[in-house]
Amino acid sequence: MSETRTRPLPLAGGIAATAAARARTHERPGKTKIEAVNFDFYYGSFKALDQINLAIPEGEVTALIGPSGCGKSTLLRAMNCMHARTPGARATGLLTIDGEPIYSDEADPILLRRRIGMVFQRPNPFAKSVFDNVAYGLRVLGERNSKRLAERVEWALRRAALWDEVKDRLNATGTSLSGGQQQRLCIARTIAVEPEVVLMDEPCSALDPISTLKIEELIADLRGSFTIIIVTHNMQQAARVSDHTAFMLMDPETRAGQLVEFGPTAQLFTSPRDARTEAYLSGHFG
Amino acid sequence: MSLETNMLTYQQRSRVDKTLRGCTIVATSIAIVPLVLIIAYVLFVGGSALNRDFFTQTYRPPVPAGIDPLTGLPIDGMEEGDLSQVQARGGVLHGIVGTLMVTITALLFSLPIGILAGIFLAEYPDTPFNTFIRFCCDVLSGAPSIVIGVVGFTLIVKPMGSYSGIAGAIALTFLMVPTIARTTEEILKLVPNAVREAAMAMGAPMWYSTLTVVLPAALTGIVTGALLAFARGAGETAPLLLTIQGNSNLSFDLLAPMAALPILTYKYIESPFPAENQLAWGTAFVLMILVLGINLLVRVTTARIKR
Repeated sequence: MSETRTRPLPLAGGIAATAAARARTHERPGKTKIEAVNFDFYYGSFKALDQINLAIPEGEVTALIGPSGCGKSTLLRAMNCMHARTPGARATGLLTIDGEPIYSDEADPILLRRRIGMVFQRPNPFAKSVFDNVAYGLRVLGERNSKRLAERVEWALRRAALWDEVKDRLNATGTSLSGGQQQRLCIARTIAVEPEVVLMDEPCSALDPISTLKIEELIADLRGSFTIIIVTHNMQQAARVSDHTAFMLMDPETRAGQLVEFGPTAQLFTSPRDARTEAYLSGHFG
Repeated sequence: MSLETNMLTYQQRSRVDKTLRGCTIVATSIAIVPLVLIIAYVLFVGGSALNRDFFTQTYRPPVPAGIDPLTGLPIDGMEEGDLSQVQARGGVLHGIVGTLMVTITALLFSLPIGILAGIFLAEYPDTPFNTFIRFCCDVLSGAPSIVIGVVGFTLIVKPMGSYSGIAGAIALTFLMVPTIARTTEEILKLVPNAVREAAMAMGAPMWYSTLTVVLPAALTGIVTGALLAFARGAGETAPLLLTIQGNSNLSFDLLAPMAALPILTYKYIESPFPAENQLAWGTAFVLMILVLGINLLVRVTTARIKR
């Protein structure tokens, strides 16, 4: 799969530049991709995230775990400015991608989202054909050449391990696929534009075990090509797919989400430093 | 701690249940009876007024009593001045053409305005301006239609110096825009937010995602709203009376006075000649079929899409 990644990209502009940036950063492994420094997030007067400090390494899989209401989805969505249309949502502190602040007057959420893709909890393909679903992001970027579109769509569908199942029905509606196929279609749609970061918000919670397994295999396969951040309720899943794990918890008094512990997945699961992490992992609460 | 069924309470409850169900059935029947009677009566009386001339001819003056319309000679044994013997001639082609032209023009005006307003109401909520617009729509769609007619007369007919089809179309636009805007808003709100988020996460600007994802998903509903607005506009009388005035001849000129089916119905039913009263039932019949047909079309299209 690595040769597909290093192949010169047929798209001009943003995507090629993105790929070049990725090629550069791969020379320096262990670089921080997304970093939060004293990051707070508010819904109106309610503080949903309190003093988050975390550095997400590039090209690896980071899992955000924690009980319901601990703010892990809020943190994930904050990385993509998905709260832009929520009235009263605002951020303070610093959240950066490649050192550039995500929340600043100069930052454009639309340009940001072209670098950071997102896969949602419930598969949400458009009521369009399989082909048009995957081509959507490319068309947003202005690609009109049908030959290059077809190439990129096939590339993305192969990458999402869906090509063999849908190659004969690219014109079928995306919503006519099975739930697991729809989710892989959404992943194909996301990676078609080769984002630098892929955010996944509980991508398997609406899927059956076999589809879940396929998505997990896919995440393992995409690891290295993309910086992946996955929110999951399922601790086993976090242990299976991620290199790093962040454990979050809601402060019982302020109800604000806090980061309890962040570290390599193996270390966090086997010898957690914080007693609350250990209690959660051993099923004592949450 | 098992609970015993209190049989008395149970019997009381089922009696109350039956009584209330009976009440709802009676109330529904009372509501439906007039509707069925109106439709049946108009179809029965109006249907007999229909013939080829009705659809192909325009207005022609009725023949005086006691005169043979073909020869123009007096008919023996008939009393002059007997109104029941007056024969109506001609048809309402000018009214059918007028209604279609005025209402379609109004639809062309109100579709872009209504759909854009609906998009604004649904996609940019929670602004004071939005609340204000929604309030205006509700007031406007509840406004008495004669008021719309007076406004059309003052704003368009007077400055233009004459009654005209275009004035009628603009008056109907006032009535149709709120309907289209509100139905568009309601339909857009039914489009799942997940779809908007997906497009947003792809880096699509809002106008692009609205155009490529949200509107296509709501298309059937918007067409439904447009058809219902058309049906409403086609049946309006008061705004047209004061704007297009009516015309006895076939006219395709939107800048001149035009005929319309509701206005013809109004004029013919006031006519002293029973034969012309008959024509009023005919125009009422055509209007009714038009509105019923559009409603049926809406039903069929939405049912097909839902499947």
